[in-house]
Amino acid sequence: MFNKKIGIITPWFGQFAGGAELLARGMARELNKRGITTCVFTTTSLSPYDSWWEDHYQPGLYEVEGIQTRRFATEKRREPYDSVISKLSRGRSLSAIEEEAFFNHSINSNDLVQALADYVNDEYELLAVPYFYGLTHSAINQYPNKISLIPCFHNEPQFYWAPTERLLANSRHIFFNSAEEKQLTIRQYGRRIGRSVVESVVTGVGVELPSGNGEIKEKAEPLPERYFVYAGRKERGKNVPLLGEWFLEYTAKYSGSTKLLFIGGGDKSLVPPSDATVDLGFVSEARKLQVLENSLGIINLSENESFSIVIMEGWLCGVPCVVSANCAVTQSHVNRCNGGLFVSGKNEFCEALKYLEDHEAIRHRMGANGRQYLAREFSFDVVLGRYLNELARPKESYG
Amino acid sequence: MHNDTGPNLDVQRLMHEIRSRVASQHHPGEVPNPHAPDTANGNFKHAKHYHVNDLLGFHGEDFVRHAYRVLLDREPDEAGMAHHLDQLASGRFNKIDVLSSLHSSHEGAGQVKLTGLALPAAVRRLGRIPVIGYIIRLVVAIARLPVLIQHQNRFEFYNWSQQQRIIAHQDRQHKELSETLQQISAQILEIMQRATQQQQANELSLRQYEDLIVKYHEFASATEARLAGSDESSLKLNEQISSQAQQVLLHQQLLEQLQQITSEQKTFLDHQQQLGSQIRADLQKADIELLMQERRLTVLLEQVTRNTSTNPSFAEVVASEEEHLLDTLYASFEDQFRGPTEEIRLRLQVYIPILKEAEITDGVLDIGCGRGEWLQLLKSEAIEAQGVDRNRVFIEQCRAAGLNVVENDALVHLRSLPAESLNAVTIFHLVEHLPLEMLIKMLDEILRSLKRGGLLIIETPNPENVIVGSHTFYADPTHRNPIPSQTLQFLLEARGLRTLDVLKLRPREDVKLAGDSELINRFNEYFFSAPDYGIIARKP
Repeated sequence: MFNKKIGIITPWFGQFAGGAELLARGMARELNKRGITTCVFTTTSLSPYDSWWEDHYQPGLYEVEGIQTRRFATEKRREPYDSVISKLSRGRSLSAIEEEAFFNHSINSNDLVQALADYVNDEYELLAVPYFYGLTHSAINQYPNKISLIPCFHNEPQFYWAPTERLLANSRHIFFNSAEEKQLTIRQYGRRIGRSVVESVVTGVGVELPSGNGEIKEKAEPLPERYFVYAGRKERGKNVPLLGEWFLEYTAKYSGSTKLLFIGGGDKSLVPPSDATVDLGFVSEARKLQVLENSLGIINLSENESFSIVIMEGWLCGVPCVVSANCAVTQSHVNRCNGGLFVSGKNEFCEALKYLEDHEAIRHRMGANGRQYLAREFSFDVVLGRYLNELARPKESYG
Repeated sequence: MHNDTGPNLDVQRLMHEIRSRVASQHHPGEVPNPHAPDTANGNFKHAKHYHVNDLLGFHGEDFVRHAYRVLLDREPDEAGMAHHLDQLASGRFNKIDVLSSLHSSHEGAGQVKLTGLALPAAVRRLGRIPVIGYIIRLVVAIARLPVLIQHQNRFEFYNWSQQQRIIAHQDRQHKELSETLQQISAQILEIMQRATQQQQANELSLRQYEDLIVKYHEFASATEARLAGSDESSLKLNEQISSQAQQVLLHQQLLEQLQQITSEQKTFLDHQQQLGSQIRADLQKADIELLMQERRLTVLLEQVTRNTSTNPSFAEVVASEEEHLLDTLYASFEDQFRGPTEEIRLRLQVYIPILKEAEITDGVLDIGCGRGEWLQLLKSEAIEAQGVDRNRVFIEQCRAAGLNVVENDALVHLRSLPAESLNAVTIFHLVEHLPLEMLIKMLDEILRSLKRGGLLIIETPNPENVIVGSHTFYADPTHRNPIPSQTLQFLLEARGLRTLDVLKLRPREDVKLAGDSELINRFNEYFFSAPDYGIIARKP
């Protein structure tokens, strides 16, 4: 029996719904449900799309969806971060000092790091997520071997910087979202960091449909008869412009009336203006499930995914997915469960969509395969079990 | 349940099928158009009744061939084809004449009905009657003038658009070819490098492996021998163990030595490569210097031979040649202190938008063009420019790079140019080498040579940066004195130019001290502000 409390450290917790925050929120909610007291340590910043150096909330104790949340004032000094970002955007390489500045002066909270001193004890297990922001580095480096890390690594420049190596070396346990993320880490740091990386656990991320269907709050427009869905933030980094371009090619090639529905926030201008595309924007959870369930499939061409909750939600609703063959993580999920198709070019994309449209039975089989895969590998019982087993094991017992 | 797909659905196999289907699809551009005329194959459907316009749409050999097929029901013979093509090429006969002669020939008479031929053929026949024919042709020509003009316009438009398409196509092909060649070269180079590295690594591993095997055999024999003597005392066993431990230690030391040797070899190789590049660069400079020496000798010898006694220009020639004695040394200064060519080209990019905005595409003079970085950049932007420099080493380098350069004194060259003949004059890192009087004379000549609205761009070290003003400026011993931007701006305006902008270039943001106090700000301003500045001026 796990008899400690858990604290999750993450830069934003509240309205924003990015991958790392969804992970933190799901874990905290489900752990509390299972009788393990879990709280969240976060900053007073509203979201990554608002200022990281201004307090949107007052510091203090909050309750977010029933989860005890402690907010601490953000650091206000941002200048070095701006000059480093400017240099990065011009494609220059950074010095070691600038790499440090990138992490030290991105979102951070000295108050929060100091407050953790009261929780670094036998009563608590602390987890910090993700590696990309200064808060995680400051917390873990301040208390070496006391706080565990959920890095959410991607293959990107920051992954290779010296502060990332130090972060891994100072982490108590390391939890990976996917086997591909762990392989990437072993390739780069296995030799230098050693067993704590090689023997760390791949937990995955818990995904389950919310209990109870809920009510559709918004005035719901009727859905098109046949459509695919893109769910998530509309960003260039998620290859949304490419998706728009390829889908218009698909409708032009097969003269179909099939639509592409976008749900979620982000940059609306990335949705190509056409009769074939519909941007529903933010929708309630219940409406999202309705949209997914009635779709022909969910499409996600992003090449930078450390887990991809989005395609999991599609499988939860019993629909297949179409992903990029250039993303090791999503392609690997699809291969493991035979739950969709993966494409490496426009022509393959068009043929894959046409195939799914024309083969209803296979579409349903793929969706069902995905759902079974999630129940087997990523139900909260399974995922939290992996976390708790690992946390219960003292670090000295590796090997 | 959807049992028809079975539980063993395999997306890998499905993707293979989908990819095969993609591969087998036709490219849209390759689908033949069933409505396109099949004139290339000469398939002109045979009938008994045509309109003259059916044939007038063809040109050249196609026209003659189709006229034969329609009117004579056969292929044209060689002589007939040549005869009619000659007639058409002469301009005195047109397609109506050819059709008329074939239609009314003995062979063609009555074979096929050709509507629309009779009237134009009759007019053409009347036109050949002396005197009256001329008047008829004149009247017809005047009556048809608007149509002819329309045809001419259409032809011109078609001709130009075709030419542009051909040029664009050629450009595209050329660009694609160059890119492909570059990619292939880079790939070949990379593959060769990888193969070499792999081979070296393999050889090293093999040697280490062989060494280890030999040592293992030695060790195994020794161990067997020791086992054979197992009756010996425990003291001896202890000795053996300690001996084995020493051997293991020895092996480890050997391995470490091997690693060290490998690393030393790598360092040595790198050093050799650097030396090689340096030697190549030095050889190139030595070649150019040799060329210069030969040239000076040739000039001197020619002059001595021609005018040993009377011609006073001998002394002038000697003096002129003496001025170039240090050309190579100055070129080396440039290499040492100005910075690598590629970096200078990148730095000068900042001025390209200024020329583009002023819509300048030619008439640019670069005074003191040096190694020609700016001229190269202008060439790549399709802006025609000429450089002038006195240093023969630079001139040879520029010419070797295919740049338009003149070896001359800048002032002499400017004076040789017609007034208002230049769109822009550029002077990079030259004014700090000149005495004030010469600079003013040069500005006056530039003002005279520039067209109204023409641009002058001057770049020079910025003494506002304390390190530049007190130290790096003097690294080049041919520099006279730094010129603050206010002074240069005053001189330009005093001689009649209008300053548009002063660009403070390349401040060292990356090394500035962090913080916002007055002391830090002042320190950053004095030590890390722009090391160079550029002035953009216009002739009003």
